[in-house]
Amino acid sequence: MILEAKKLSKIYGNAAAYRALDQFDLMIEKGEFVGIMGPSGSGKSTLLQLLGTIEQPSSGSLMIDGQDVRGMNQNQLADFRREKLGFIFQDFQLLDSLSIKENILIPLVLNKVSSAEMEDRVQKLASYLGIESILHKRPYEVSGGQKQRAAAARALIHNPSLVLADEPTGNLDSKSAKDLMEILIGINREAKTTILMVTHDPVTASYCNRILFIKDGKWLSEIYQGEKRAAFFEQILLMQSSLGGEQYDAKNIRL
Amino acid sequence: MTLKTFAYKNIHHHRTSYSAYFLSCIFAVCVFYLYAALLFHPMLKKDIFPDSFLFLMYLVEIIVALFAFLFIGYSQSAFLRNRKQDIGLLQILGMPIRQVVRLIFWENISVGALALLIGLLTGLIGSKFFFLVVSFVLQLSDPIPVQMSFKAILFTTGFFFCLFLILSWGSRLTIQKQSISEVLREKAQEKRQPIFSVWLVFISLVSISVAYYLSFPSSFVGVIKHLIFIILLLLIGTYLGYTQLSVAGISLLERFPKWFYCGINMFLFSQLRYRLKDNARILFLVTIFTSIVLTSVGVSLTYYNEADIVGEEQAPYHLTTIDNPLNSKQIEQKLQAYRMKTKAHIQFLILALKTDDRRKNVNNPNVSIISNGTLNSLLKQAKKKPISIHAKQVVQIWNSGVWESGEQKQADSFTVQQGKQSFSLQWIASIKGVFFNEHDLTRVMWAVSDQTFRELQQAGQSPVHMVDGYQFFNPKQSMPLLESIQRYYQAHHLAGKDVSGTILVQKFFRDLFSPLLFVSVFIGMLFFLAAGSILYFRLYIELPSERKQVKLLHKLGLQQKQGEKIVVRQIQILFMLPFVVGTIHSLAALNLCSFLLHRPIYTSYFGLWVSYLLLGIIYYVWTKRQILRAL
Ligand SMILES: Nc1ncnc2c1ncn2[C@@H]1O[C@H](COP(=O)(O)OP(=O)(O)OP(=O)(O)O)[C@@H](O)[C@H]1O
Ligand SMILES: [Mg+2]
Repeated sequence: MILEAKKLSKIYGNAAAYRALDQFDLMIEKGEFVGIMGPSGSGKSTLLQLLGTIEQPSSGSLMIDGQDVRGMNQNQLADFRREKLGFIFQDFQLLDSLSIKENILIPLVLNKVSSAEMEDRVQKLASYLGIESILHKRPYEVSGGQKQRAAAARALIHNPSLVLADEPTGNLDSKSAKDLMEILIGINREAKTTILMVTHDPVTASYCNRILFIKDGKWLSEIYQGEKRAAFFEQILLMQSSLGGEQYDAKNIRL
Repeated sequence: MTLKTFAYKNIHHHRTSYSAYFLSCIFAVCVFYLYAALLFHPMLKKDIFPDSFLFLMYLVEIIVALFAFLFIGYSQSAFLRNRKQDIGLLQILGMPIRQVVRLIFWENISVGALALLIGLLTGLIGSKFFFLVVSFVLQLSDPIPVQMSFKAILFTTGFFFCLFLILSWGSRLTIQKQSISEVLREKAQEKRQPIFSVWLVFISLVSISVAYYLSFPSSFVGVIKHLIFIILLLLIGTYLGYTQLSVAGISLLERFPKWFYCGINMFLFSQLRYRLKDNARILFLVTIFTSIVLTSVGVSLTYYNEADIVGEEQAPYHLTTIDNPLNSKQIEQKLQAYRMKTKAHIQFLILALKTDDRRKNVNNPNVSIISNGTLNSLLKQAKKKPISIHAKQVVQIWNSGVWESGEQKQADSFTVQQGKQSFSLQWIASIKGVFFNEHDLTRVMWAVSDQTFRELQQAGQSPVHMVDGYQFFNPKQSMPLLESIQRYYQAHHLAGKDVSGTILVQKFFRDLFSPLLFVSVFIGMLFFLAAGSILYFRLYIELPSERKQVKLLHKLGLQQKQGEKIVVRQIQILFMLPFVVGTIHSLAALNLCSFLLHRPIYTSYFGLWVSYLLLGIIYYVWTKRQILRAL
């Protein structure tokens, strides 16, 4: 068990308290690729922030990789994130002041890894992700797909126990999205990296082993990948329409 | 890659936004060093500087130090706010706060070290010129020798190093306050539309008008009474004016759709309104800086330039003495020796009495009495109508420029003691104006009828002082004469201040205002640079969102030029508004400070204003170019 969250709640505001997350339970085994879906405002990002130890839950317990996160102070949390977690964001979040390579290296710099090992790891990962040719470019000189692959490299380079991705394909075209998902699924299978991903896109979601549905901050249901990806995709679409309340634009419905 | 290389990369990336800040830092270091070099100079031990000048130097050093603290602190917090996305991201990726602080310290110290180095170098080069100017201002016979002062270098380095250390440590608070979870949220939350309160607008208008109204009485005493109140009102009024009046103004503009929806106006004003709360603080700060610069330099420049006229008005007699130890023959010889041609000579007696009548003055029991005849001859010299005073009556004469000139009827009485006798006098009027040079004895005089004067004189043994006043045809050459008489007084253990003369008063004013002018020019330049740097930085922070808007509008079919025009207008408003408001404030302040001139004199001020405007325009053009290039 890599992640164990019990009765996790998050309340925003004091006077007009708003329950963004309500008694949420979540278990993730090592090596799983879990998707989270739900209507806008249902609390997906909130959940991810709690799991990423960026926000503190209002109540509930949270164990990641056998460690109780709730008892830690700010510095311990920073140490924990640095070693155990990787993040991928919708808007890439690469630093313009650094080259692509240096951006990828940030977690290793923070973990004080030797420069020889840095070089070794970055070359291996870059060739796997197909971004060797852009390593020395700046983030503003490369395409969105390349940026997101670089961001994925940054999230993976220190071999984290858990990778958290908030709509990683949200800003990508379908081809780039597909490329990224193939890479993530590959890493997930080969290195047994646990990935938790929030997404709106049924195609992206169909790569996961398991998808959780969330509505109004509450756990709603869960579906598992079967033999065929196409059947899983149908199931996702069905689930989404039954959830309702959400409007899809043409971009989101495609195989 | 290490933390340090990371810091250098950040600086390199943000170098354009650092540039104005860097310039101001260099200048602050330079000024700090120059004054430190003067304060640590070995010449100081020889007591050649007047105490008041030294005091002023210490004051400047303290002001520069305080200023550096505030300015660098402000710039740093602005940098941090600008980079909260970067810093938040690093924290999410697991950088603990102490490491973030260390990163910021490295960035600060490397920019600071470079600024320190360049500032010290310019200071070293500039100190020759600086010392020359100081020598000129103090009218030293031989200029202060330039020396490389290690103490001053050490002091400056130490001060700025501590400053960066403290401020970096302080940045911890800012960082802790910033929530890192905002990085994960897709978009920054929309800012609320600023609203204004009619009451605050009202308060702003009222406090500004009250402040201006109070700054109009042309007497020294009246101004001093209200000075702090006026400054406070102006500060409050200006601040509220920017935060409230501006929103109110734009809301008003919206009521005129023809105008509001014309061309780029809508984009411009909605941009301005959303940033108004942030901009208001900047505008306020820059306005205050501008007002301070224009006022302090303007006042000292005006007084420096008008010293001759002020001196003539304050001391109408070219030579005045009290109880001159030289007899009239000796004086005559002295005048001849110094080739002075006498135009008028007036001689009169002052009776120094005491009173314990509380109606006169609680703190000062001394009363200087002159006769009606004396008063009339003084009035005649001042080209005023004579007054006749009846027995037992008294007219008070406020003989100084600090009071508003004029006449006032009084109906009161008081008593004076003379020997064992006590005289009761009917106080009928007060006259204010300058009728004779100001000495302790002649500052406030009481004129009584010739008859009463004789009675008082005969009644007791209180001291009688002989006062002489001369006017010459060639007053410009009177300095050697005055100095010689002063030396004579001192040789006879008499108070040197019992000798006065127009030229001495003129010198007094020039000596008073030349260091002030000198100092205020330096501080003025510092403030000017800081104001420009704050504006520049403000614009730079908004650059990304500006870029987005221009791009979007371009996609929607607005020409690039038009989009840029929105930005340029904003720059213009940010530069112009504080200048205009600062000018108005400083004009009021100048009016307030020109009580001795009895009329505001705007020629010196105008010259200063034009130079400030020119410098401002240069700064504006530079800023505009930088911003447009980065757009
Ligand atoms: N810092 C905050 N303060 C107050 N309310 C917040 C905050 N963050 C999120 N919320 C509220 O919590 C609810 C859940 O937000 P969350 O961002 O988790 O939704 P989401 O599922 O990620 O939506 P989307 O699909 O649009 O990204 C929303 O109603 C949001 O308004
Ligand atoms: Mg979200």
